[in-house]
Amino acid sequence: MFHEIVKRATTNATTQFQKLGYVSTNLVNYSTPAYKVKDFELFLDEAGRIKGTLRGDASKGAIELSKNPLDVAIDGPGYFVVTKHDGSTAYTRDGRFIVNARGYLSTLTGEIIGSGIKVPVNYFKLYFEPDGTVNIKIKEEDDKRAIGKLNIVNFPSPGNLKDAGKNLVVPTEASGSPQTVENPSYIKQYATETSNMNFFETMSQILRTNSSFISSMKLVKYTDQIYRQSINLRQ
Amino acid sequence: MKLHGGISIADDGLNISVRGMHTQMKMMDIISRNITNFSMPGAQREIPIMTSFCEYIGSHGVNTIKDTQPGRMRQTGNPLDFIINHSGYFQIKGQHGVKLTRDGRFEIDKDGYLINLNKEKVLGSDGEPIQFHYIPGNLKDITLDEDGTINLYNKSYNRKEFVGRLSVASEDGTPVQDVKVIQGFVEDGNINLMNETFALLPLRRNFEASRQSFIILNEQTNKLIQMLGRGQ
Repeated sequence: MFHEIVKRATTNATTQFQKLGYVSTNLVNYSTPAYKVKDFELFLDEAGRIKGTLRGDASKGAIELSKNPLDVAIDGPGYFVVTKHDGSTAYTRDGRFIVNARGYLSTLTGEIIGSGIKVPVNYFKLYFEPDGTVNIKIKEEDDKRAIGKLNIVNFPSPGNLKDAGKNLVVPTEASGSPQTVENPSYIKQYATETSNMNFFETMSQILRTNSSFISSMKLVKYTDQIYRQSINLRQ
Repeated sequence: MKLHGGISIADDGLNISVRGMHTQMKMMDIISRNITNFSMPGAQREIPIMTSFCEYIGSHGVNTIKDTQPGRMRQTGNPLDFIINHSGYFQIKGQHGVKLTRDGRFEIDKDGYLINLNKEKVLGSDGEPIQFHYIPGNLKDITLDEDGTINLYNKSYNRKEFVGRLSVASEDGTPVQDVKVIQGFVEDGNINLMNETFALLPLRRNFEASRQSFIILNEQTNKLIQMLGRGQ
């Protein structure tokens, strides 16, 4: 009966510490564009034991204006498709694009957008239309000419996507397979998406984690005192 | 306790003080459970109750009752976080039958079922798991009426489509009539950490009092036996 208090309190303390780790991951990514919060949610199973699970929040962050014509934001559900260096496919909402040395539109970390959208060298202006079409004007008086289209896909359960580093995500069994969004109308040029982290919510999570940790440790201390008094019962 | 030669010593006090110490430990165990469950969404406080005859049956006489008051609500803005604004429970389809919970943090899985964090399906008032006909692209399109009806806004037809109705049951499994469910909130449980920590203090003092009386009685018995041994 009494061992249980110590066990439960130490389990709770380590769990809260683990939760603090996940909270800090969210906190440091406050200024990562299009970062999606992953909450470490605790719940009780039937036997009253603490269990934890990661619950991704796939909601949209705020849209910030930018001056760079290669900054594109998805003002709605969906992900850009990128091709990694090893040829595999990954997905991202981080729309800060660059043109790489071979003339292809790519992410900041060098993954090619879609299956390759080649941008001519001497263009006058680049346009991203709301449906994802990439148009170009070679000279000011020219008509717009399409050079490619941004493919937007969405997942049945985007909260369960797995982080693949470099602000990329890959599908898992729980998230379902990617499905193309037909005719999106919410692709925005000259904009970036901020992370969807709520600063105040995160701070309150830290405070609650801390208080739970401290009271668990206090319980261990009390239990220890009672152990000692029980051992020295003859005095 | 009967000594050789027919002299009996009243040692009830020794036993009772040991039982007292056990009882305080048991009550501390219940409070430790409350402290661990603090801020656990949907957790309900267990109140330790000391029944009569605790002096005879020790820690077996400690009982608990559940505090079924609704806990603190915290706004999260997540359209799939629900709370019940009165006593009652959501029904979950578990492996071994229907389970009750007040933890209303739900998700949608890839087949469109409404599931809880333990990946178990949430039951509707018709007894079937609630399933979305198609996966909403934007979770904000999901709306909840106060009576527990979940609707999904369909942009192409500009109308709300019925998805299902959350089932709210009382402790014995019967459906609650006037349901009031609110969207976008999480219930943080009705445990007050301060009260629990304060409740630990008298338990410790009681433990020490029982311990002191054990020590005093022990010394007296000791003395008595020594005096008897000297034949005075």
